[in-house]
Amino acid sequence: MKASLQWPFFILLLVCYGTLFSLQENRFSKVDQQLSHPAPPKIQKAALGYLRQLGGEMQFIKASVFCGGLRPGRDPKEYAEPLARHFAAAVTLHPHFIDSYFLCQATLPYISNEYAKYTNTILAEGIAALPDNLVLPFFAGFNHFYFLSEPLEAARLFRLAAQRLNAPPILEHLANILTAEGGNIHAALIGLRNMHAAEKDARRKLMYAEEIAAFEKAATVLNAIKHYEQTTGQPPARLENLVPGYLTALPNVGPIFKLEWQPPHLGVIRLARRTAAQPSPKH
Amino acid sequence: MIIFNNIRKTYPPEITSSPQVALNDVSFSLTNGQTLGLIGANGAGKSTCIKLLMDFIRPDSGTISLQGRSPKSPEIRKHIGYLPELANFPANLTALDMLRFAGATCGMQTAAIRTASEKWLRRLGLWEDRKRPLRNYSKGMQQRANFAIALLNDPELLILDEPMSGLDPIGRADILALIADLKAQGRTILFCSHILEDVDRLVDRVVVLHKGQKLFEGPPRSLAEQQHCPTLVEGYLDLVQQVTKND
Amino acid sequence: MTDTLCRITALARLVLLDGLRRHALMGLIALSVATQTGTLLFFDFIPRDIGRASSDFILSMAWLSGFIFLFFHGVQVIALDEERKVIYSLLARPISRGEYVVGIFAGLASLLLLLNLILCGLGYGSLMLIKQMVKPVYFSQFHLDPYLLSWFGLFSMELMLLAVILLFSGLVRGSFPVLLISLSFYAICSGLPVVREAVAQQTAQNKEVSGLSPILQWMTAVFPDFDRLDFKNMIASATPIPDATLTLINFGLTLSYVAIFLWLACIVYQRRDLQ
Repeated sequence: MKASLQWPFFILLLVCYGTLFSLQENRFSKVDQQLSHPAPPKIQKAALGYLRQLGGEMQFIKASVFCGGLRPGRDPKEYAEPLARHFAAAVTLHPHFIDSYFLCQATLPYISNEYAKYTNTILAEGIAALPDNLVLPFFAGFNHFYFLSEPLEAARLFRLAAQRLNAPPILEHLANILTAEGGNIHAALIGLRNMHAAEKDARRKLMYAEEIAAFEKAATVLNAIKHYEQTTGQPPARLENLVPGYLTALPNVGPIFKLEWQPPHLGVIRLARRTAAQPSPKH
Repeated sequence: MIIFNNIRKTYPPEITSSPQVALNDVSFSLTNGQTLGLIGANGAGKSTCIKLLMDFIRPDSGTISLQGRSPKSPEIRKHIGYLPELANFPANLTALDMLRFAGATCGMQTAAIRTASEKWLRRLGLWEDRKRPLRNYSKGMQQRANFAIALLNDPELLILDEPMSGLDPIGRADILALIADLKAQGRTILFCSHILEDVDRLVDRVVVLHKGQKLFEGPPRSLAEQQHCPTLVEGYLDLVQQVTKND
Repeated sequence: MTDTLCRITALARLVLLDGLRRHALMGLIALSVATQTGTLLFFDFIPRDIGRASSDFILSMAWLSGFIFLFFHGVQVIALDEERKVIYSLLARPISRGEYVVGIFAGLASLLLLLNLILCGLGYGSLMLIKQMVKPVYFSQFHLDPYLLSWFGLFSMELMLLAVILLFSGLVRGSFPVLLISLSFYAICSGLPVVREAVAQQTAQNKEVSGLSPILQWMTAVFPDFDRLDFKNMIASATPIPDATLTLINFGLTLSYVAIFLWLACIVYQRRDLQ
């Protein structure tokens, strides 16, 4: 090539490259950011060796940057699966790294019940790896209560959280309330009575006493149901069927609670749980 | 000083080649104060002999004795100065580093190492460049550095593998003079070289190797006489031609 | 004995000097220092567990540097290459092959130690700086003992790998094959604990004794589980450091592993032709 043509040709090449680069950037900026599936966690763990904790943190960073850049209104189901896999990989590689659990809890359960369950499997890793952390069992318990309507399982997890270091009494309290909601009223009573006995604050003590009174009333209904079953061989279709043969009248457990009869389970539901302003958590 | 007795050495086969007979029942000896030249074409077995003497490789059969000891004994190398064919140093070291190492391994005191290093570096014209990395030395300088390392501990036996390899005429003359000087001091020298004129000039006895076989051992003029040739060079060429024809 | 030590020290000094003057090594140290400083940017991506993430990052970068050092510089120095017959120049001196092996090991170990000391000090500085910059709740704990123990664990792993590389270089000719075999060795060491865990889980699920478990256990004796020397998790958390007995067992095992492999390397070098 002639010397006089070399530089113009080079400049032309640069211009061509610049144009194509701008076009590419423009095209890709319009497309939604995609999150690819990570390599299977066990393979990553084997490959990374000593670097596996850093690998876990990188998975977290990738997920958090992705979540931070989501276009408002984008359908979460488009990215839920790879996002969930990233969290699974992150906690497999670095089960002690708490941020992965926090981000997972902040993003996945709100997508669907299926992902709420998946979040709990991820949180289970953290609960095992971080025995002093009360937040993770709390998260898991919340998911079971709020998304999955499994109050007994939620109660178990809140109780687990309550046993951890520096746990506030609200966790034990919540565990007892949800135990009753799940139908295990006697166990809830025992728990509440223990809390009442140990409580030093007068106001809280009074609150527990009111709740104990409500649960005791619910326990009489439970006993009446058992008696009805023994007599008729099946549970009553409605609680009203217990009156007058087994109960003189249905007790009033309000204003805090109400009785919910879904044969064969009698639950004591806290009325303040849902208000009209809050949407139903069930998807 | 050196007894090389019925040595056989075969290099094991590799993926792309069959086993190679490097030495086949070779024997020679070197007494104190003598200079012996190993001559032969490429692949004759000269370097193999030297590697066997330095215990870099081991013979399949036969015995080697250096001052009544096996080459496997590292102690014997306190009395040997070895000059390799190709200068191979860790690239970032200086001549002084290598000399310090050589002296330390021979059990020399620091002061003695310093004195000997200066003596030999000055003698070989490397004193001004003593702190330069060896990778920046020219081929001739590297060869001279090798010589300094070989001579540091004042060895009785010198084993020189192609000492003139890659040197310019001035470098060659310098090394030749040095070897002659060392010979005059009564050191025992074994060296191999392709340059038969140098061999003729320096050695008392010569060993001719060809494809792992010893063809001749004796004074250079005996070879010439045996082959009815005027010089060692022609005698050697004639002998090799003869052997090749018989093969 | 003194003479032996003198010779080994002389060779170790040579290897150390050569390494310190290599531009590539200086570049590696500079790169390692730069990546350590990168912690100050890295922690910005972490919302909560900053202490843990920062210490993981620092030690991981140090491991990576050590890894590059071992598999590139270390292999190059040790391996018997056709082109580079430095070993002839060294063994031409009255140094036995066993002393050569130990001397090379000592020299490279000194370089590794120097690298780790620099990075340890720098890492400590970075962590203290980050601790100052963030709220206490995000970096509530920093324990010096586990920090030093982590570095010690890291250095122990590197020494074990170095001993293995030395043995392989005696068995195999050429730096590239030694590099490949050493990398494969490391890959097996990384993968074996995962396989063991999977087999244990399967055994627990099926409630039957697997014949594979004892085989894998014995394999771990040859391909060590480096996780047992990984103490990173304890630096910024309340996890207690292992008791003295366990620490002694772990490091005693490291020492004996290194000694065994060096011994084997000496035997191999003593018997083989250096060709």
